[in-house]
Amino acid sequence: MSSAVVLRDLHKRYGGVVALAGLSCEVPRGSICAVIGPNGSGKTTTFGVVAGLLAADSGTVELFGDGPFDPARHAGRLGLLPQDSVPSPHATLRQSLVYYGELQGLSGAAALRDADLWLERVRLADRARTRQRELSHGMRRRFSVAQAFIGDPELILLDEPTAGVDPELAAELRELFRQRRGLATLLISSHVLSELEGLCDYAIVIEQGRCVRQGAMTGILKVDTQVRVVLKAAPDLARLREQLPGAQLEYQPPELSVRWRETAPLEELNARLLRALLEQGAGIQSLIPGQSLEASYLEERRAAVAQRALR
Amino acid sequence: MTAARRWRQYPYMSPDRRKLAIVARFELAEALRSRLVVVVICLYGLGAAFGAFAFVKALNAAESSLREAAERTLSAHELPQGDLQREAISQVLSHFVADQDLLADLLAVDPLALFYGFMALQLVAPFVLLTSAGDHARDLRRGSPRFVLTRCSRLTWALGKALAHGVLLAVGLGVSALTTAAVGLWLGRFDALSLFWLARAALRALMYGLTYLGIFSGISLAVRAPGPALVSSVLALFGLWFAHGLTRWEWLGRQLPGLRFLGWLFPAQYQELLWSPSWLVSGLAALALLAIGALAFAGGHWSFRRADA
Repeated sequence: MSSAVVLRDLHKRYGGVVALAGLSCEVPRGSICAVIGPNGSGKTTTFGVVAGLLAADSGTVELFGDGPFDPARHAGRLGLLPQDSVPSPHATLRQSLVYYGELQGLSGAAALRDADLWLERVRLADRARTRQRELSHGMRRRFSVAQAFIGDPELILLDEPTAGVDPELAAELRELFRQRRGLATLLISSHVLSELEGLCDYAIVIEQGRCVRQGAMTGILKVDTQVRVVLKAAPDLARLREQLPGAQLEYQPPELSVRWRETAPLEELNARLLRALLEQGAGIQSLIPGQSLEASYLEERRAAVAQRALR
Repeated sequence: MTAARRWRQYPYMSPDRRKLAIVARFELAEALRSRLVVVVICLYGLGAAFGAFAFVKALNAAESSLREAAERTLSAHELPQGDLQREAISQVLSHFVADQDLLADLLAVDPLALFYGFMALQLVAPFVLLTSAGDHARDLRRGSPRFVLTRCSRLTWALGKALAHGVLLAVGLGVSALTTAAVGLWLGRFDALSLFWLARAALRALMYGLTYLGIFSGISLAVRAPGPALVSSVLALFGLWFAHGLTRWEWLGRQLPGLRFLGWLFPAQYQELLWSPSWLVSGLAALALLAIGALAFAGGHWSFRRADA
């Protein structure tokens, strides 16, 4: 699969503060990619550099294999939902979206059609004539999502797209993003890891301005070696450990996490686990492949902190 | 549809020019939606109307006093109205213009347009300061260009915004010229030729105003913080005026030969030349003014080009 974005050894400082310290990563074309990291790890700076808003001190950026972002070469191919930015305050939502649509390359009529369509999708159709400055934070966020998608760009950078959005709309937005899979490349940064887990098929973990892990979400969630079982009652862990010597078990009600150290086929290992749990009458409610993104991320962080301490 | 194909829907315009027009149109509408800009334009128009009213009244009074003085020495049919008007205007203008040749040239201009042109030239820079200074910086601080700069180049955005303010300036000057014309019509001091002179005076002021627009926009793009950009623009306005005054100071000119030549770097140097009845001279002055504005804008954009947005 070709890459939509390739970043090599990016460095960026704000005065004495290091934002990017040799960030290198690739985002496959057509994927929905989660960009994960703690506050101040460099996610927003990365988005800014990719979108050409921020100049990297050194390193290279390749978009669609055609150099760094250039409005002449990449006109209409990039959409951005920036963080903490306020659009022009006096224009109405429709006027702003038509403006962005026209700049994206649409004709006036097509931009108007697209603007109304996206206002409908983010449930702001009844606010089409409202001025930007009269919007609440959540509404402004919804508008920002709409403008990022107008004109069907090939690469869309979404910085905290669901921050401040009500849960119902957040779910709708996630569905909307899911529908773009394969049609556009989406980079999504969010602190709500559970929403990225179900949505994204690729992930990049950034820590202190470096990419510490990247790959398919299935690999990051370790779906080939781990499983989570939601139980009604607490299992007898000592007995389970005897029955499943090749498993590392951890129970945090109501979830039993199992990490296989054996190399037998996963189906066979899972069957043994389920048999043992059924024998105990633990009340199996559901079985989820892999660990949670949150667990994976926290594990990654703990390992990084330990490694730093060793150094 | 690819971006390249979409652009083919507009064969009459290159993508950059079309985007420039889109940005300028939106920014002009955005400026006109702002209450401050509308209030400043209205005040500018009202100021022009009151000024024109006071000027016509003063002119009428000067004419009356001249007539009374002449009546004492000449019979009524020996008092040509045109000569009286010329004399009255000459008296008023001699307070402002020292150059006798220029004074003679100016007497050929319609008096109301002359007054309007003089006032517009003096007030156009503060008008630009109020409506446009720091505007690029305000947007950059707010972050609104981040929605645009992934869709067009930085130059297109910066230039489109400056163009919008140029049109805004033309609107302001147009409104003030129209209110002046209305007052002239009301007081019986306006004819078809006055309209021509008024339009020419407005055009002169536009050229002068565009220079300051270029300077203030350049400052705004270079400073990129609204408060400091506004303060720098005010300092630039007075600094340029003061520095130009220094280049014309005769004592200093004697101490520093060549200082007068530096005067050509300042917009104020071209004010008088704009009044020249020769289209060539006034045209060259306008070009020089536009070049100063363009250079200042280019300097600001050069700084903004590689800066974080």
